Amino acid sequence: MLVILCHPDDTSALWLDRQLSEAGVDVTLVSVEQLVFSRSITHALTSTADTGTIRLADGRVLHPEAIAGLINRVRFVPTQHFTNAATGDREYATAELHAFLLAWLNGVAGRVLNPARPLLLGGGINDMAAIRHYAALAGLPAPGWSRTTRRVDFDSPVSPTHDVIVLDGRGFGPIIPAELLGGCGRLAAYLGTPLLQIAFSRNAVGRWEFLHATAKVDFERGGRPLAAALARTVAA
Amino acid sequence: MILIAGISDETPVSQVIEALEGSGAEYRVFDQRGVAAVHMTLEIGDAAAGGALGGYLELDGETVPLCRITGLYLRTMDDRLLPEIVNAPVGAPQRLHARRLHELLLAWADLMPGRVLNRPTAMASNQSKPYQAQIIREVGFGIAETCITNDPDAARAFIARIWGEGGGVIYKSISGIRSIVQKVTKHDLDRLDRIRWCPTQFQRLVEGQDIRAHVIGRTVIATAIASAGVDYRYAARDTGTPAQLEAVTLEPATVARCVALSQRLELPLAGIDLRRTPDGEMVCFEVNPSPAFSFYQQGASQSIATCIAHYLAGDCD
Repeated sequence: MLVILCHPDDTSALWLDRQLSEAGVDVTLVSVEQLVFSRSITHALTSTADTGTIRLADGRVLHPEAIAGLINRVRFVPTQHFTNAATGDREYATAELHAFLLAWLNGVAGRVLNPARPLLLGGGINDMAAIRHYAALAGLPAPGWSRTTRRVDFDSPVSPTHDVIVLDGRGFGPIIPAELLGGCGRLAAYLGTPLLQIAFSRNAVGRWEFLHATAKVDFERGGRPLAAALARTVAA
Repeated sequence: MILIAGISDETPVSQVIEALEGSGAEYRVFDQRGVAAVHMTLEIGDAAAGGALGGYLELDGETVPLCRITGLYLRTMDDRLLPEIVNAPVGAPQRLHARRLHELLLAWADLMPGRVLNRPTAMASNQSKPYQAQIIREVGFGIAETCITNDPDAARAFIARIWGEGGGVIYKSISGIRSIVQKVTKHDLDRLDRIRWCPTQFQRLVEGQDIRAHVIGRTVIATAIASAGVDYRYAARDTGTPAQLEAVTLEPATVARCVALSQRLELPLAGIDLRRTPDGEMVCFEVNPSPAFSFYQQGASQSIATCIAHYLAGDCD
């Protein structure tokens, strides 16, 4: 079974679920809220393995050891049930849930795309300095960048003309020059984010510029080829 | 040059400064308490420059190019909780300045090519004990049998099984938020329904000798702890007798495993909590990425700060 774990407003994940279901893939859509507000959570660690049971309110049961692959779209930990708690208790409980979810995602038997990170449950990286540094290191046309405490800087808003998605180094979406695609694959490797969306701007004279990269991939931009590749990759 | 970032009179920080002073190494200190007077600029080169890092730190009237800093000891507290900042209104200039400076400092610490104890992203693994346990298990240490649950029946079953085997059960936080390890008692069974709000971590109590192993690069300095308390850090309060510390030499296989664990977690400085069971197994509980080593250094007369200073200076692996 392949699990898509997302928030209810994640239209891109809903699109992927529909594509995979129509293609006959054994896929189940679970919202992060369903998981956190489930009827019960039990997760066991021993010296040899992780096992567990999450009983969702709709009757479905998740066992991390039986999940063949998981599309990880977690953006935040839902904490509505702590709204009326004292601030200290709420912060403690939020940290506890974050810590649990990180271990739960890491304990899934199959491949998780993208792998959860301690600072970002949905994986990837959102530090602009690191993204710029690694983009330039990967050979992408990233302009110089600086920040200082002496003044407040903002990046000039430039709209992307091309949003490319890489999955294990293979490109999806708009056609871009091969050397750029190679750089995208290297950037994904540097960032430890096998599934990555990279935005470029191409101006009137054909000059390319790297804008940003995100693990929050819009699957629809990669179309059916991306959906098929994800099914093959994650469930392999 | 080595940069120390933290609260300069906090004991671990002051001991590293003292060790650097003694070694004659060139160093500078960014004392967070003086954050208002410190400025930083971080530059990332373009593709032609390979994304090279540049910029500078303005500290005590001196401009230090970041490229001159080859070693960094990072033991910063959350800047939002600094006494100078904590009561400042949201949006206050001093609050924004402190936040911005720390964001730049931590971003640079993650990327700079020198020796860093430790990089912020790597330190985050400590935010989840079971996540760390999964990695600890991968390098071959034993881990304590653990049940995380918000189901009172599942908790009761776990506790009953271990009690039935003659063992004990403890509970503690899942996250990196410090909690006092507590033993589950019969009285606790009456309030297990409270765990429905949030999963809680229960663990089989592992009997044995506590050992704290500090890894600095490839060097391991171990301290044995004798205490009657479940959590030796609070032994004096809980039992009336403080924990007794003693330097100890670990067997080569355990030393190698400690180094492998610190490398796997990308933490060249690590405080590894171990317990040697009566049958000789070494169980590992967690890895502290910013260890308050001074407690062990003072209690067992060990030279951990000196070792950290040597590592930062590049004098050892």
